[in-house]
Amino acid sequence: MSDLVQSYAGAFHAIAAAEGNLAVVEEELFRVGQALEANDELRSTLGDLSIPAARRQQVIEDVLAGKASATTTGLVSLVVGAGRGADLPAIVRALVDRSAASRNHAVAEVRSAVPLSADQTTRLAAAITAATGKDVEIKVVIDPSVLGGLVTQIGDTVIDGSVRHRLNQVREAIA
Amino acid sequence: MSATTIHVLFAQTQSGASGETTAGTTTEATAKSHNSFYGDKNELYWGTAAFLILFALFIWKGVPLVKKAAAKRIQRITDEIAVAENGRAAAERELTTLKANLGNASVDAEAIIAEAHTRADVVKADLTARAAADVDASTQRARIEIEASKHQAFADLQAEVATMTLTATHAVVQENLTSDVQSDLIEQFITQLGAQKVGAA
Repeated sequence: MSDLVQSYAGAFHAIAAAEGNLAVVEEELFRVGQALEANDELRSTLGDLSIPAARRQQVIEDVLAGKASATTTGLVSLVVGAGRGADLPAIVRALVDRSAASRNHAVAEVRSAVPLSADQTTRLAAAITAATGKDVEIKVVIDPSVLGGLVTQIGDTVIDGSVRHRLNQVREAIA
Repeated sequence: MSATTIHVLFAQTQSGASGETTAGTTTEATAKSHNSFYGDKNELYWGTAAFLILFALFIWKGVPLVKKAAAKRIQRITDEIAVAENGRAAAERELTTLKANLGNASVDAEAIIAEAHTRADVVKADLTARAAADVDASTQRARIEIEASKHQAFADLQAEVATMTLTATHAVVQENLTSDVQSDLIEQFITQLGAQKVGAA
């Protein structure tokens, strides 16, 4: 499975680079992967082999119409048509890691209840670099369950400065 | 048959053999005999002899038979007495045995009753001990269950209070999470993160 995911990630990287819009495709695929991770029904539908491949691909094209580039739509449609829709989040994650690694960067996934400004993103990347000693590329995920603050994950390290975390600490203290 | 009758018969026989020639003699003898206290001597002799013969026969043959019969009878009676004696002795022995058995039965009965009492006491003590143990165990279980229920109720209450507190806190926090507050929280995170060292992978 890991080899298969890495193979798809490598192919995606090569195609996006060949199309000359690697950064855009990478960002769009990242959003699609996040959407699939957050939506069980959509992930289940795209991974259901009892549904004809053409129909699953049609669902993807309808969902991404006007929201993603043709390259992104085509790549996602390819994976879904091959019956690997359930693996798409892992493929996208491998693609992001591969792209960042090609630039000697690590990926920092940042969860926030509200979008970050460009300035905040830049300063956050600098702060993470200062804290970890690694150059990072920020991938922001809008997650209302965070409530406030940020949750940052770099590899296996999680730095949780969210309001949700503080509320959980309060819950544990009370219980 | 008396001696006189024998004498008459003997006399008649003699007269039959002698005929009329002896008739006068017979009459004379008869007269003599009638006149004497002892009667005719011949008659006396013969009578005595016959008597003696008969007596001797009786002594010779009859007495042994009588003695034998008497001895037999005595022996039979003796045997019967011995048998009866034996029976009596056996009966007495049986009676003694029965009395002894009766005495033993009484002793056995007393022993059985005593043993039954002892066993009953043991069973009673055992049952009492078991009942006491059961009561203790039940009491202990009840205490544990009560304690567990108390703890569970306290935990449930604590969880309920925590949930209510968190719900209220969550609501208050969400209400106060304005865009400025959100921005402040993000800035605070960036500032604190930049000031610390993290062992990132």
